Amino acid sequence: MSFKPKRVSGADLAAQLSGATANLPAAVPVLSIVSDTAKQRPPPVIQINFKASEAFADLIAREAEKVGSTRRLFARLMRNAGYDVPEADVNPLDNRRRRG
Amino acid sequence: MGNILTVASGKGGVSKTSTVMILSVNLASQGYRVAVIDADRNQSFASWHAQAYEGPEFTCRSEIDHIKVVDLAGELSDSHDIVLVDTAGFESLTAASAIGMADFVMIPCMPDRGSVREAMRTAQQVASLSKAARRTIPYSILLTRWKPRGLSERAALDSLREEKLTILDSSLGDLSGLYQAILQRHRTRGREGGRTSVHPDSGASREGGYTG
Repeated sequence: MSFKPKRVSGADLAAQLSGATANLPAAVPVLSIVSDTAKQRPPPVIQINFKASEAFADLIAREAEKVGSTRRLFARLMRNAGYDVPEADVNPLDNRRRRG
Repeated sequence: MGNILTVASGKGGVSKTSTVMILSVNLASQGYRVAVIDADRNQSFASWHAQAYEGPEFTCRSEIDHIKVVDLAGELSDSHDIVLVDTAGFESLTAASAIGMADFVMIPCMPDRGSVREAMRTAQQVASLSKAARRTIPYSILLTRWKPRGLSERAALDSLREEKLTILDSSLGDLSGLYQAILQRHRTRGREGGRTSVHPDSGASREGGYTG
């Protein structure tokens, strides 16, 4: 009959074996850290439609053209009015296709 | 405190998982409290246990992290008589940890040159990990898919003996019956959508099973 050695923890054993296991690959896939500069996917969006008078529609079209898009126009107006508007709506990714 | 038995080889397809299946079911049938850790990313054992097995109950857990697998084995050894660890068929940190914590390492080897070479390498790895862990980790070669009178078996045995590797007296014979039974039960379960029973003991022993 012999005494069994006390079981060591995983971290202790890994440290103890590190000399013999230095060249071995991990069985667990290592997740790569995505840099801040990497292109981020925009959040999911929904479509908004509403009816308006022709004069008001013209006004929206003119002002939206100045700031870049209708979505950005409304987002800026809402933020200036004090509402908590997501950054993705105030400065949406420019993913429009343009010619030339 | 139960024993930890790790089944390891740097080569895939040498019947590591089948060996663990046969051992776990036979030991559980004899009333031992058995736990199995599937440390192979492919999860072959865990999949078989969850989807096809319906024999005597035993614990099956999956863990492929090289640190967590040691903690889990230690935890399971407190409540079980034996903890079997099935490792992946390539040299990895997880397999090294499983060898480093084991009370005994079993290295399956088939009668072909590639298996013999990998069995030798795994035996060297066990020796190297023994040094690093500052304790003796006993190991033995288990001959699998073995025909005692075959020519390639004789050549393989000579090579293993030249290296003075310890070889278990018992060997596993043709396991094709076991594989067929497992495949058939998986298919049946897929069609019926229910649990079915595959008992590795019956498949292996009926088809030529244990020899030596």
